[in-house]
Amino acid sequence: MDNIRILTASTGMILTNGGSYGTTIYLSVLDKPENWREIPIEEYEEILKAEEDRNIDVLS
Amino acid sequence: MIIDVKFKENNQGFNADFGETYRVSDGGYERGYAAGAKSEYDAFWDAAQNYGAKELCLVKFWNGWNEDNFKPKYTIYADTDTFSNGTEKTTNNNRNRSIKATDLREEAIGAKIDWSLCINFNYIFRGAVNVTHLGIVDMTNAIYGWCLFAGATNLEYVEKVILPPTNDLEFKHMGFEQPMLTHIAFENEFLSYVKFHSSGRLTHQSLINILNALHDYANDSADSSGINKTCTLGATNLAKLTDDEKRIALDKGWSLT
Repeated sequence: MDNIRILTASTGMILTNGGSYGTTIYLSVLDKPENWREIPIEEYEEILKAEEDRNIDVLS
Repeated sequence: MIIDVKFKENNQGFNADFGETYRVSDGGYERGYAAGAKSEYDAFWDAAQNYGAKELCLVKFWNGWNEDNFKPKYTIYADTDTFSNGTEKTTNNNRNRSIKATDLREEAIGAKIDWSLCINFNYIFRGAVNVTHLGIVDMTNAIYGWCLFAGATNLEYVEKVILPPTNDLEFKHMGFEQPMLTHIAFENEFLSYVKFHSSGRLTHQSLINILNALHDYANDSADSSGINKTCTLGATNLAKLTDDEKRIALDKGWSLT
């Protein structure tokens, strides 16, 4: 049985594949490390805020 | 059209808007029913639910309906016309935020809520902060499911969600990740990424239910390279799983975070 491949984000950074986010990624058998990149946590928070604003817009 | 249903004690009224207005003009609805005024109960629900034939959605019940008085006589069916109608669906869905009933399972309200005809689940329980328990949410015919549970911050228990056969694009943000959620189960499969990262109270069995509901892309010959196959559980939930349990997802082509 192969070892589980784990990516861990650097301090102050978040890993993303463009749609999902996390500080620790357990890579699937179909996934590759190059599918993930680091972004600053501040950028991640801006993405979350934009998503929340869009939901509020739809409701108003 | 207004139907007045009077029980033995007349207090405040509360409303149910069915397009026409049916009004129960008594805050002692349950007391009246218990005191033998079943004819009044029947008069209201027979009219409101057209003897069980009328498609009638949960969004019609607002402004004062709670688990003490929300006792439908017949199965409540989702109103597909309402939910497939652009602006109106959003406006009406917002009303669910006002329902006071906490437990909407059949054993609590006495009637089943049947969602199997509903095609648009966008925002149905968004912000429904009073709702804690749901029965089977049947999304077999759903086309949209955006933010279904988003903001339902006290949602604890969902007996089962029957996922639609295709849920790749419009089901990205169904809002499952509610902080109080402890139990959830699924029928059918998730086809694209799902998030439960804020639901740190999920039971171990619920987590296994989630992993088992992920489609097996590793043994699917179709090209899935453009699909985000990530299941976001959060550190608290990941810590509840052994490596072998994580492999349920990893070996099917789903990354975990």
